[in-house]
Formats: sequence, structure tokens, C-alpha cells
Amino acid sequence: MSDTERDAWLREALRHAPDANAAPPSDLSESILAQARVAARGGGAAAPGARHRNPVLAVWDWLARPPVAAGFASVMVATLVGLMWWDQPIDETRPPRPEVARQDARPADVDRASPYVERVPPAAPANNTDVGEERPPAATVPAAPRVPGGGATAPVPQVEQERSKDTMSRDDRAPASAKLQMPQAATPPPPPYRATTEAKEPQRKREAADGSARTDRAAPKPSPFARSDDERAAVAAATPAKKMDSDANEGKASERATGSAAADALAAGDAPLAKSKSAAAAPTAPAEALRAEPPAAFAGRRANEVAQTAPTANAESETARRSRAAGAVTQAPPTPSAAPAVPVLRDSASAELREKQASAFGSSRTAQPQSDLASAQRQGAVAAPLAPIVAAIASDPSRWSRSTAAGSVVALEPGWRDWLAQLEAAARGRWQQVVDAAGRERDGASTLRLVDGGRTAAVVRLDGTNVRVDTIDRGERWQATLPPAVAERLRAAAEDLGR
Amino acid sequence: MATPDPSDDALMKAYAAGDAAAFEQLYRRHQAALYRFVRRLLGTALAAQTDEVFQDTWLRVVHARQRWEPQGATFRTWLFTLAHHRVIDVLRRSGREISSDAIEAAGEGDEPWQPDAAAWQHWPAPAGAAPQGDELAFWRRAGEKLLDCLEQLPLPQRSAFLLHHDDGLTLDEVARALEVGFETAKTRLRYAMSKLRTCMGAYLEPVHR
Repeated sequence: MSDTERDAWLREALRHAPDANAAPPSDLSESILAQARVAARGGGAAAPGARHRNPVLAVWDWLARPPVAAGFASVMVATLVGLMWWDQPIDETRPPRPEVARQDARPADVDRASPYVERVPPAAPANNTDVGEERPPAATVPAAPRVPGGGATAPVPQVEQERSKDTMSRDDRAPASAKLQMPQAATPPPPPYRATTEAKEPQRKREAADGSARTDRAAPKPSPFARSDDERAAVAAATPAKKMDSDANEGKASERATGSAAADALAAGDAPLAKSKSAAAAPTAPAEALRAEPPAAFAGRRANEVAQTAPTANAESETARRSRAAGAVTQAPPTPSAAPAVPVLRDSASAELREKQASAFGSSRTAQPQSDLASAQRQGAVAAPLAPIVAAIASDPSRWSRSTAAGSVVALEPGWRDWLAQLEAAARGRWQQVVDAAGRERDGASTLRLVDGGRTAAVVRLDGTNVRVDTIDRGERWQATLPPAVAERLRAAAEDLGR
Repeated sequence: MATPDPSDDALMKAYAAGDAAAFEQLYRRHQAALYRFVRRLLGTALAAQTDEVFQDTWLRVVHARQRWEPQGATFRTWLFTLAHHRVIDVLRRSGREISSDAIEAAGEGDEPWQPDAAAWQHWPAPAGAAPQGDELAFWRRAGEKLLDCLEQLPLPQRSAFLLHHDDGLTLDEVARALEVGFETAKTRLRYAMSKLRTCMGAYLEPVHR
């Protein structure tokens, strides 16, 4: 018997199986047919294949496939992310700010003015003692050149004066317009490594001013001042100091790299002095002008020097100081044409001195907060002792705080900053330096102790119509008498802020 | 002269164009065979799922009416393919599915046991259109036994046997319906028939005695 015959029997058995006549239940059939009718009424108008004949629908069907849809979604996400980051360079790759770019535009000056700075160890600690040893005390040696707009004086290192004269000769060759815009352009440009630092520093401070400061800062979020006219005037009073500092920065001032730009300019002669004075009368400089900071260690050293020399130097006349500066440490003639002295100075500058100065210039930035205040105070203390403080606070509010009567230190509120600005505006032109010790504080006097970087920097006291400012760094005391109405208004405001 | 019935493909196209009557005609034409196929494929253990699988298969036809195109396969082949997929899904959910590869690998090269040819001699002639009396009773018992034997077959072999011998699909159509190669379908069918012969031969032995 073949398999074919057996298979016929199997089929016959299958045909007589019990379920051979099985059929779906009628209700099930009705349900299926009902759904089929509904589907035919709903979407049966299109002929089969019509969607594929329509290219748009065909593309849509193709996109509806899961693999294609997933791939398309991935491409879309990648495109979106790419667009979000389009033309957004990383912070480190951002181009320098315009002033930095201008500094970089004179690489020859940089190389010539500070040939040794690039050899400075970047993290060398500040050593004020070493630098101070290079200079005789202010009481025993001829005073150093005085800052044109400020009461502080500072001895000038030989190398600085050498560079000052060097750059003076360049500045004399510069166009007059350039001189007006850059009154202290006689100072040498900062070293290249400062340019990168400055490129980041304004950005950091701008972020702080925009309220994006880190939350771990104790200071409140800085906010743009909505200044009144008086407040703008107060800030304008601080402008000369800002402008000078700014010009010092823009003109590659040696204040950052080598020392006081103003002192250099004075040591070089009258021309820079005139420029500095014109700078003091110049319009308000941008707030970013103060944000460029000198090297920390050198600034700290400068602050100490200012504190040591200020009491005696302030009593001297400008001419006497200038002449003494010319004949003091460097013995350099006060005119820009003193070029013959340069080789002598170079020869006389010992390698040891250069090393010490280099280590001071390349110090760490731990003393940077003090440098801001010291720089600002140095240049604005003569006419307005509060102006540099207000300017320094405005440049970096988060660094400043105040000491309460209970002894605790709290962040300096924006209200106090505005109050200081108003006080400075009201007392402008009324300041007189006092030599007596701090007076006893009477009841009802409003006292504001300003703390900079954890250290008390200044004490502002409004007692009746008298306002008194004690700058701790320099040991100076200034006093002004305000109009009674203004004094009363400020006192009331201080009381409100102190609550 | 009556017009010939439209083909399955024409009915399906008509239904895709919105003709619900075309679907009803298709349904009446294939519903019994499909229901039987699903029921026999699921076996007695999963017979309760027959209605569900049957309904789901037809609903798939309804939903796929716009996309359906007779790309070489007939509507009937496609319909049984859908049902086969649904049965596999149910078997997987119940954990009863057995890997077809393992079964085929185990039986590859082994010639199944063949019952004695004499046993088949006692079967009545299968050509009888309407068996009566004892003959009918014999075929009914044979049918019951065949269903039992069918449940012992692996799913791939069972599918091949049912599609070929019950639903009348050709070997090529069986291969298309099962989505396997022609030789694979042929092998599955050969093993299925061999096992069924063995199973049915054992059933016939007592009769022979």
C-alpha cells in the first residue's frame, strides 16, 4: 500500500472528524461583519493602493514606519541640539574683550616693556617685605612720585621708572588724539598673561552683576542700580579714579605688571601728568574699567606703601614731590627726554632686584580684593575718599559686606551701596583730612563699617551734619560737613537700612 | 447563465473601496475553513481561544484592507497566514509552543515507523461520498483518532498538514502561508504524514486483530 492511498484515507478520516462541520457562532459572525461594515463606511472611500499612488501619502506612510520614525526623530534631536549650541563658543575660546584686544594689538610694546614678566613664576606668593626692603622709608628718603589725582604716593621701582621713560618716548610719538583717550598710555602695557586674566575677569564680574553669581556667596545677588541724579553724580565723582585705573589698564599700565602707572607717569615728566589730569576730568568711564585688576601681590604691596607714605606725602606740594621723585630712587630727570638715563638704570638694576620684583608680580591672586580698593583709594582719596570705595563696591559687590553693631558680618545690601553713593555725592568738595584720632561716637550717629574680604576696610560715620570716613588701609581720616537737610535725610535712610 | 463568483482578490479590492457586501461574501466563503483551521491548530486544550483568534484574524483583514495587495499570494493564503500568526501568539502566551527547529532537527534523517501495510487493508474505501451505517461510524471514529494524533504533532507539521489536506492549499501556498521555503514546507508535511500514519496504524491494529 502506497503512502498516497494512506493519505487518501487520512483525508477521509479528517473529513469525518467531529469538528468537520464546526462553524463560528452566529453572534461572532455578526460582530465581525458589523465591524467590517463600520470600517467600510468610515474609511473605505479610498481605493486600494490610492495612498501609495499619492506621493505625499506614500512618504507619510514611509515615515510612519517605526524604524524610519525613530531614525528621523534622532536626526531631529541632533539638529535641535546643534542649533541650540550653534555659534556658542566655550568660555575659554571666547575672544578677548575689546580693551584686551587693543592691548594685544601692541605685542612689541609688551615684549619690550616687560621682558622679564613672562619668566615670573605664576604662583609665587606675595612678598611685601622683600619689595619694601628695596625702598627706603618715606620719612628718610625723598618721597616717591605722587599720583596726580590722589593723595597717596608710592615709591617707584627702578625698573618701573625705566619702563616709564621708555614708554614715554613712545607716547610722545603717538597722535594727540590717542593721548587724550589714553592719558596714561605712557605706562608700559601689561604682560601677555595679564591679557588672558583680564579677558576672564570682566566676564566673571559681569556674571556677578547679572545675578548669576554662585549661590555659595554670602552676598545678596547684585542688581543693577536704578540711580537717581544724585547717585549718578556720586558715581561720576568716582569716575576719575575709575578712568585713571581704566586708562592704566587700557594703556598697558604697569600698575598691573610692574607698579603704579601714575607714579611712573609722574616720574617720567609733566606730559603724563597733564594727561592724567585730563583723565580726571574726563567723562564717566565704563564700569568695566575698574574690573581689571592689578596683580594681587603687587597691589597688596602698593596698599602698604600707600599707607606708609600717605601721611607725610600729602602735606607736600605737587612740585616738591615731583622734583623729589625725579631725584629720588632712580635719579631720573623728570622730562620725557631723559633717554640717556635709561641705559644707566638698566645697568644699575641688579638681577636680584629683578628677581624679587618678578616674584612679587607673579604672586597669587589671594590679595586681589585688597588691590581693588587700594588702587581705587590711592587715586581718588584726595578729593573724594568715598569715591574709590563706592567704585570698588560697584565693581564687585559680592566681595563687600558690613559689620553690624552686634559684631556680625552681613552682606552689603544694595540699599547701603546706594546710601554710600548718595553720601559721596552730598559730601563732594567738602572733604577735609583730619589728623586726630577717631572721635568718640555719639548716640544717634549712624556708622557703617565696610568689610572687604573679611577685613574692615573703612568706617563711615554720619554724626549730625558731620560725616567722617576712616580708611583703615591707609590710616586716613576725612571729614565733611553736610547741609542739615541732606544729613537728616541720609541719617534717616541709614536708620532704615540698619533695622 | 450565472456569472462566475468574483475572486477573493476582487472581493477584497471591492471591500477596500468601501463595499461591505464584498467582505460578507469573503467571510461566507472562508469562515468555516478558517474556523476549523484555527480550532484544530489550537487543539482541545486551547479550544476556548478559537473564537478570539478567529475574530481577531478577520479584524486584521478589516484593518489591513487598505494596505492589502495580492503580491503573488492569494487572499486565502494570506488569511490563513494571519490566523497562523495569531495561533502562534496564543500558544506562546500559554507556553505550549515547541520550537519547530528542535522538532525538525530531532526527526531529521530518521525514518518514522511505518505500520504494517496489512492494517490499512481493513479500512473502507475512502472514495465513498456518503458512507452509511457502520462505514460512517468507522470514519467518525477514525476522525476522532486523527484529531488526537494531530494534537501530538508539532505546530509547524500540524499547520502544514491542515493547510494541505484540509484546506486544499498547494505545497507552494503552504510554504507561503507558513512563510518558509518550499522544501521546508515539504519536509514538514512529510513528517506530519508519517507520524499520522504511524498514529493511525496503531489505531487500526486492534481492528486488524
